[in-house]
Amino acid sequence: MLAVTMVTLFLLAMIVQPHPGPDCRVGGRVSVEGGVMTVDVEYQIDRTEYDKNTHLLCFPVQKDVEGPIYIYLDYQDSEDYSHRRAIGLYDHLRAEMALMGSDAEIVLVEDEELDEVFNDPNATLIMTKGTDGGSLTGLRALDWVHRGGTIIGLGEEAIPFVDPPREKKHPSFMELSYWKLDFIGGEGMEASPPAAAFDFDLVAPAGALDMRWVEANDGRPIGYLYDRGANLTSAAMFSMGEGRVVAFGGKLDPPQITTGEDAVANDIAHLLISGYVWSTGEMYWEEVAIDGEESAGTLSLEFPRAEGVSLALFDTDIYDRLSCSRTVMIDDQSSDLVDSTILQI
Amino acid sequence: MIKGHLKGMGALIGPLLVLIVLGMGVRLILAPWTSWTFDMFPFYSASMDMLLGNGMYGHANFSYPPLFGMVMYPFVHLLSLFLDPALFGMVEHSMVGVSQTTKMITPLVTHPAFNLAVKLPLIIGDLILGLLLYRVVKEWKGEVWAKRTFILWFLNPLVIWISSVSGQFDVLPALLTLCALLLFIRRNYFLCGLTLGIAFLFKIYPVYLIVFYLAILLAWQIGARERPFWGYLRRTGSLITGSLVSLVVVIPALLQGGSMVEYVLRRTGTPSFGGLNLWFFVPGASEIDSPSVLAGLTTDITLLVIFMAVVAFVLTLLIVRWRGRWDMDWRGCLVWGNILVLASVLLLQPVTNPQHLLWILPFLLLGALWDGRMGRKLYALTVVGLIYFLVLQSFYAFLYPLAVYTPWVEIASLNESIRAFYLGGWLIPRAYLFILASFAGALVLVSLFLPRRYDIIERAYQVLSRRCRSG
Repeated sequence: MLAVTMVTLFLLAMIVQPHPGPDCRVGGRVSVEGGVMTVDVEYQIDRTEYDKNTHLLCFPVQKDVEGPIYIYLDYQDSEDYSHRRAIGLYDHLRAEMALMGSDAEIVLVEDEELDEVFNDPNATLIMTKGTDGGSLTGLRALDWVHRGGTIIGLGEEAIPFVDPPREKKHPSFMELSYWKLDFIGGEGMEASPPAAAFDFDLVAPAGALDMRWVEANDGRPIGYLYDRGANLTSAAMFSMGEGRVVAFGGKLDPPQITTGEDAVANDIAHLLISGYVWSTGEMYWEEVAIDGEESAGTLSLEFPRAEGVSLALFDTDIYDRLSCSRTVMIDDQSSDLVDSTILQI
Repeated sequence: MIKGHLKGMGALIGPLLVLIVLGMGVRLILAPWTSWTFDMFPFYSASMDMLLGNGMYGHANFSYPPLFGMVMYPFVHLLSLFLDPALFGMVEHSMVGVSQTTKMITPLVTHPAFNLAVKLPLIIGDLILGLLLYRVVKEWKGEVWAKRTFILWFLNPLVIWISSVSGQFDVLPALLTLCALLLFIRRNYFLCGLTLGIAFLFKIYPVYLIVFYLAILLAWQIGARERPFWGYLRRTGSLITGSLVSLVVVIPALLQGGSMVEYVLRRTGTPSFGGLNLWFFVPGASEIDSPSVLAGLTTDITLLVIFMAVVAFVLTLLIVRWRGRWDMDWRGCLVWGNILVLASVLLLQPVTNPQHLLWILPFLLLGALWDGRMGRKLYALTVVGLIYFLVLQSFYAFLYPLAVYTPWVEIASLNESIRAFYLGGWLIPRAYLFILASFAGALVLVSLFLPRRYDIIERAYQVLSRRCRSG
């Protein structure tokens, strides 16, 4: 009896361990003629056990960067609510990235280690709260972003070089207006194209950005849009020199699946893995419904010429399993017609 | 042999059939249509992850030790053959507002069939534990007491609530700790250790009972000097080996190199305080805007865990020493020891929720065979536990499956009722109700350590019963 129980438990333990599931592949052939870039996309999805909705995305990008991801943590506030939320984001982001096939390095950093981050222009820094470093940290962070860094800030005061309108601590800093958001069950909400394409989870952030200030800084909304007297968005993205700024309107708060670390980790993982943070123009996306059987398809797309193109295919169920993406950079030194045969289906 | 087993089973169930049908009926009616969304979400997430091959810790939402994930998997897998897992749960945007207000509701409501699948092993656990109690008490004290014990367990509203309404799995480690006691009484130390080890893979607390049993063995050895020392080593070794053998179950997870240990320890190490324990004032104080009360409370959880183990050890030695004075046989002494160790854990651990009371209830029922006060403690904890559940968010918070999957209840009216209760309360503000319920729970647990003459719960009961009789 004892042996049977132990063997049963052991077998159950084996069965519930992670194991490879259905996969997907996406690839394409890119050709450039004059100012136009033509992308012939091919995708293939394995047989899945259940029906699935997937999204196929394609967009031009400025570069293809794979650097370490840092999450800022203030250890002095270890009993603080936001500290626990930041640890939660770290756990969820690692889980999401791993499930999506990424082996990116994700590291928690504190104030003293920010120098290491600012020395790596390929790094991404996620700030869940502000630092005590004042304008000096803001200037160092700004310089790093101009050299190629990506900073992702959650809520007001998280990005050290972003201040409220007309309260700039330094002339080179950005001004953004953050509002407290009343979700009202999703009333007056619509998805921006990236939010719809990636099926972002952060639908009810605790705060949102005023679109007037997003546009004033040449930014574009990448999250959900809300009509609350003013036009607001849950997240926006800005180009700054060689780098990128992604501003989320609200800090991490419950409930975690629509407002907190679970939702934010999902959205950040999609942005980073697909390379969308480096996008330079409009994206194309379409829904690919699969009924459990193996499926494949092709399509041809045209974009204004860019340095490269990213292709991605994601599962949009609450619990996604399928995920594949790749970025193709076009070698400017070659002839006008570049034939990047990267298809590896 | 099978025929013999079935006969034995029939003899056990026969006299209880009506009670079993009644208890199971209530549970099976409640289980699909009620849930505590906050706790159901990790089970949903783990189920989906396991079905998709991500492992139960895939999305980092499940942070319990792995055994409950494994126990619920066959039930959930069976359900997935009939119901598309995409339908197992539904994000309900209209709940986000109330969720942001109370911070304890997750706007994902699980399907009634999923609720039933997750709660079925708990309901079975309720029944097995009840039958085990019945069998033991029948052997120790006779049929009448056995039946009474079965009723007090299986028809206890708190037990029904925890397994069939909230869907919390504390009954499973409670069942195993009861088995461990019986195995220890039969001097089967290896199986006792194994059972506690398996219980530890559900929840961490049985580790303190391992300390308790090791201390008992040590006390026996000291008390009876003529026993050979190698015999003591053999008994202790059996108990420890048994507990270690249980870890075989987690070897596959450890070999995968996943984050199981990290997630589980991080959750256990979360520095939150409050509930039905000595830290009862902490959440209430923060709700009544007295954050200064909390400022000094930054206890290192590791130190607290070590402190609790030391308390368990010292208590055990004291119990053994006082046994003669109590005129109690060893069975009673072991039951009493379990009660005191579990009460210490409940009082000292950072957070004690009503479902944790299930750890001690079976031992209180056994303790009542020697001391009638234990039965009264069980009544008091049942009432306090239920009140605490209701004071958290109100009864409405448990009805979301009914609202989302049937036309009988409006989601909007549930949201409004919960919000009104949370911001207002019933007659007195919720924060005060919350502190009162927590304090009452802590008081009942403290009273377990008090002699009869200082036991204020018992005195209150005596006064009340006198008044009732005279009235």
